[in-house]
Amino acid sequence: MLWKAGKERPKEDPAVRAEQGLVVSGIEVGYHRGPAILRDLSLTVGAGEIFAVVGRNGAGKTTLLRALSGLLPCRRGSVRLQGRDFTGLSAERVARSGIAHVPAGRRVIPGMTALDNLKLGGYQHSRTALASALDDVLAMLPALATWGARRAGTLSGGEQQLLAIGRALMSRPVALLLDEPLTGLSPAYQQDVLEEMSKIAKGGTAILLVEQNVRKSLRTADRGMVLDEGRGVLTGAAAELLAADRLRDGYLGVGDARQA
Amino acid sequence: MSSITRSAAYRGWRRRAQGLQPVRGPLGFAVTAAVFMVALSGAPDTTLMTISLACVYAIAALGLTVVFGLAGMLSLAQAAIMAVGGYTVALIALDTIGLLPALLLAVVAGAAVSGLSGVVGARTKSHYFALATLALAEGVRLVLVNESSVTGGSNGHPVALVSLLGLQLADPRYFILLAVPLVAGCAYLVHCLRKSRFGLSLKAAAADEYMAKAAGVAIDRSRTLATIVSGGLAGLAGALLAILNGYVGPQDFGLGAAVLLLLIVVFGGASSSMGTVVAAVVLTYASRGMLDLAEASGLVYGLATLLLLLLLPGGVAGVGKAVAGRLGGRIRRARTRQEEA
Amino acid sequence: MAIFGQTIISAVAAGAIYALIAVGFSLIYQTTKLVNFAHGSIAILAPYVSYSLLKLGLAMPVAVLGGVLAAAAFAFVMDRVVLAPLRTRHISVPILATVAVAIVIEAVTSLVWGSQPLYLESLASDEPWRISGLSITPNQVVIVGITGAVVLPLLWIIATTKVGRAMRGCAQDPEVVTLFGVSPARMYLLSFVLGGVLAGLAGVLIAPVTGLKPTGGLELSTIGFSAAVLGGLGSLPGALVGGFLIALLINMTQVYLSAGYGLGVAYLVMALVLLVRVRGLFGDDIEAVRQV
Repeated sequence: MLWKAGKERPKEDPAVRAEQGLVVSGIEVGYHRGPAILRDLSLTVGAGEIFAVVGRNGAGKTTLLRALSGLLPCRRGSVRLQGRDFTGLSAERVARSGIAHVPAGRRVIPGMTALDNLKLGGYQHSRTALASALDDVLAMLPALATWGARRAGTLSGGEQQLLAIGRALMSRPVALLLDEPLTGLSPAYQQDVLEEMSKIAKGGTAILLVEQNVRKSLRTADRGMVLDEGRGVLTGAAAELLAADRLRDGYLGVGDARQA
Repeated sequence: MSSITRSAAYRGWRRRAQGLQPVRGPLGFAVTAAVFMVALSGAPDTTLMTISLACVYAIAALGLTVVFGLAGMLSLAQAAIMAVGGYTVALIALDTIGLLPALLLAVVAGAAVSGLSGVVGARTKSHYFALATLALAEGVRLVLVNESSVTGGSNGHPVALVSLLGLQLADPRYFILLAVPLVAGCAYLVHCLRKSRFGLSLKAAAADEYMAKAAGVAIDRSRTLATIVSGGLAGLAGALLAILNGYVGPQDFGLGAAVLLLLIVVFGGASSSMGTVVAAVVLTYASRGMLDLAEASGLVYGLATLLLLLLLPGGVAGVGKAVAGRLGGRIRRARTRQEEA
Repeated sequence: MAIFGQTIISAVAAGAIYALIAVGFSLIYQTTKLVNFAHGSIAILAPYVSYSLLKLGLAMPVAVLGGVLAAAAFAFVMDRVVLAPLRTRHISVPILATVAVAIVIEAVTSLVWGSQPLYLESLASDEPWRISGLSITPNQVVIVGITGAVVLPLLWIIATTKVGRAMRGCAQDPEVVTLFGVSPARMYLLSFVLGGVLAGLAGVLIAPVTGLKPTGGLELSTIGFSAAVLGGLGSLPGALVGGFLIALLINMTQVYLSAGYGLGVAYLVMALVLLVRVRGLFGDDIEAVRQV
């Protein structure tokens, strides 16, 4: 009960879990006046659940996360978190209201120390709340404490990814959005990140993971969705998706299968 | 197989197009210049003076296009480099060495002093380069004011009268005969630079330094060279201004003039020499009009600059795309698109 | 020796003022990544306003406060009206706009107050104390005291509080900080207002020493820039130290080499730092690699 201190543990009933998590219904998103990148997309991530969205380059995965965190406006549809309507809120308001976004490429602030990066993540907290959030995050990701004084720009890719996740957790999010957290990491670090993710989800956080690495992400996730040209073409339990023919043909080449 | 034939055909087409180019460019400018001179033959003196000044600023701005427009390095020193050229012709014995050597000397002096900023510019850009060029500009001004026994201090220095083929160049009527072809020549020079490997390397360095380096572009050499070329043109412009006015003084080459030149480049667009020339004429005409406002001219000038920047992102010339749009918007959009993908 | 000591004393007083300018300039730069060429011009706006307030019969402290507030208010308006709409454009456009603002201020001040130098009364007495052959004026002590009282707490706030972290984060990645609930536009505005206060203070402190003229703004800007670059652009402690070092160099040059070229040394130092060590004395090496 690290993350939602003082809050009830999510009920096991899926409907209740969904109600406490992130509900996206029928959103349409595009850039400026350009064509829609996402069309009529709906998904639900329950509290304590890991939901993986997989798809090729250009399928709209990053656009989805940007829309959910308020960096892009939704043209249609709605985004709700714990029953509250988030549609149309600015990115700052979304961040203060329980959605944390770990952007692609990690985007840690290179000139600031790892510790300062973490504290920046808890910008919305008061001084005391910040200290307790920092204690919790360091307890969860003890590695952060060991290189906390180093500047983020000098950390390795894997360390930066852990830092970016830790920084997002500083706001004690209800929903955590992760954009390609495995990209550019060694297999050992990929495993670390996936394990941390499971731990975080067990604490009751809804995790929406967007990945190109189909096999690894679906193995860790509870449920998932295949995104293709802005539409969710396949949704279901992660294990079912892994076994689905369409996914195997389209995304898991023979080489990939052998490798795994 | 098919790709080989296509590329051969393409190369043939390119060669023919390139064969035309050296003819088309100067021809266009020559026709424009001829129309220009015919139109001006009966114009009143104030108009001729404005056109003369526009020619001067056009040449300096064409130089600035190379540094600021192509390489994206914001230089505040271009007016000070003009001063170097102007004082060069003021301080040498113009009547004994002749016009052409004097102009050449001014070009060399301008290129040399501007190259000093290039030494810094090779390593830095944007803010740091802007600061370095401000330091250079203020340094030049300091020397001009302090070394009053040579330069005349803040009172300035007279320039000997020069004539070309018996025509007095201090008279705008005859000055134009020299200046318009020079503008055409400089415009063509910059046009060629823009199309050359050198121009491409500057653009590449401005768009993405690391990528350019990785592609084997010698960024520092290109940038230094850009400041030298730009300084040469500024030196020429300064020399012409000195000859036109028959006088040089530090107040003609202050920050106001530097901003005017930058504005010309912003609104003329980096992609066309013609745009720069048109913007030079329009903005010189506008800023000359403000001189009539006497004391309030600085205020109107500054406010007009702000309004132009705020309200006219596309530029007045409309021919080329403004530096702002070209560098800022497009790259940013391309980057976001890449990130999204 | 007495001359040397005296030079040091006046350099410390001048350095305190330059440090105020440089810290404000660096603060704006570290938050917005924008070189504010109007910074020195905002600084001289304050003593001009104070001068008019004194003429109206207001007491000295009130007039000084009014001047500083006027500078801060001007910085506020400048950020909102001029710079905020230009934020999406190429970086050279807002930089150019700050130069245009400097031109506007110079024109307005010479229209309203005339181009002849004005002289303001010092905050404290200029009657020197003699201490073993050296003279120190109460005004010099006041200048250094005010600078210390303003700059040191500010440095502490920027280094340790969440607003300070947000300001530092803003410059490096404005999009990412919005993901933590920071509003970059507010941070930019805050940095401009704080920078305006520091500049205004510097203005009212320096006007009695050097006199007040419309062209003084750009001069003050370049000195401040040199100090900030010497200390490392974006480093506030660096700007503080750089201010004193530049003042020392300028005063030494004026006393021992040439009266006219004191400022030239400041420009030379700036050029040399940019050439040899872009990050200055205390600048961030990672930042220098990224931004240069």
